[in-house]
Amino acid sequence: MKKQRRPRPHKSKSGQPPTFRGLFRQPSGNFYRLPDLEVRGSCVLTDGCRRVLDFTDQKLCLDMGNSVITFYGDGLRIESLAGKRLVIEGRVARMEFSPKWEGGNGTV
Amino acid sequence: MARYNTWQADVFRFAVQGRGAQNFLAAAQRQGIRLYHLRCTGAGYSGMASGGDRPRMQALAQTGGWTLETLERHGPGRTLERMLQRPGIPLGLLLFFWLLWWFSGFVWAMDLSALEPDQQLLLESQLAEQQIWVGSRLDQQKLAQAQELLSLQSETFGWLGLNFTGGCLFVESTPLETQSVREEAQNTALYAAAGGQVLSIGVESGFCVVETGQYVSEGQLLANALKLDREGALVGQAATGHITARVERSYTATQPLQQTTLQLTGKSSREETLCLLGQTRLLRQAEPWSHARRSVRWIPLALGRIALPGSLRQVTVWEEEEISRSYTPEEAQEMADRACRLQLMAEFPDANIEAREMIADRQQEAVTVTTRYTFVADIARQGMYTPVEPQKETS
Repeated sequence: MKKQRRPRPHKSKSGQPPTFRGLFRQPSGNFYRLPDLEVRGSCVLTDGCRRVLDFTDQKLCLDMGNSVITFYGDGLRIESLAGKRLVIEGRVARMEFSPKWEGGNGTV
Repeated sequence: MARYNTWQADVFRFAVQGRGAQNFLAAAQRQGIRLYHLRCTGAGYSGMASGGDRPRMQALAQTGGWTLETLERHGPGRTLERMLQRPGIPLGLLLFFWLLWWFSGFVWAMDLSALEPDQQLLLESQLAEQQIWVGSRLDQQKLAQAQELLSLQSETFGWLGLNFTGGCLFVESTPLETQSVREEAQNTALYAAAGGQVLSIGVESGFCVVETGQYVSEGQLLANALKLDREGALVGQAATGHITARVERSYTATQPLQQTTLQLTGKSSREETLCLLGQTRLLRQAEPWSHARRSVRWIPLALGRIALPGSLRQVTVWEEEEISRSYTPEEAQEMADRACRLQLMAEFPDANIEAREMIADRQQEAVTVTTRYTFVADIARQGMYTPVEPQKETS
């Protein structure tokens, strides 16, 4: 009879296995202030946009605090711009994330 | 116009152009201005914004050196501007609705068609006594008060309803139905109102003490409320009913040959009062005659077939004068005879006259007539019972 192997426990990115306590742990302090990006069909909803750096039909560049997000596509338009919330419509072909300052890691 | 920001409820399409036009978007974002439907137009951007944010956007564009152009405007602002340019339109509307409310408080028409013509005239005069006519101002309190008073006073209507809606006064009524209830007699007896021969006895209760064919005198007891039974005890029962008798009775009346009476001269005068929108104005005054007959007529005002909240009160005054009328002796005798008959009918309304004997005394200034009537009538009149002494027991 073939011996059945026990499945290995999953490990986190840090290499440490997830603990039961870790499941109920609060996120980091500025988690909810971080930029938020949501894609719904042909719409992209962003929260945390500080300013529009560049805006053409093919390119939309947004200042998201520590990083800059650039949308490439066709027929891009801003459906709504209210405070830090922004709704983009159009055919988005590509998104590029880059650090705002040189030496940054570019993570959002 | 600058006092009113008519852009508040509007949305508008704008185009911003100039160097670094995207900075305008960033500046608007910082100011908390909501922009939507933004598109790149090559030389700048176009989009939509709320009309309330327009002054701030203009200030931003002026500060940054951009050109802000309004392309389209949607909303009620433009209509409002037109209205403010012609204030007569909104004021006219306000005035119209105010007048509509104010005029509806007046009586424009009175619908008395549910009543008979004579009842209409009667009610019209009764309402006029309560200050209600076409053209008078009417509120619910006044209406309720008038309805209560008319219901109490009226001997024609059993129930009267006054309904006032939309300037029209409707009158509903039910005819008065009298139900005669005979009052219960309380130990009453029947006495003869006149002396004569009893022809029939129709005593419904009580104890009759006369018989048919018997002659009775005026004031004689016909039926009593008390009677002794076989054992001599009192038995009580109120006497009611009728006793018919043949009576002979005389009446006297005097008619002067010369008599002063009022007679119409044929002259008439008219007094007209205009009652319009709660105000009354005397248009024409009648002649101040000392003796006159008056008849009042209310004429509603109308413009073609459109009723107006007013009426014309027309009082026609017919002059009367005192004249001395002289009668011939024959005429005076007939009138005196008629007066005698009226006296008889007043005393015995059901009298059936069998014979009449008239004696006329013609004097220089008057004729006196004494008529002796032989008639059959009910002579029983109710009065207090006659006491009866109970017999003492002998045992």
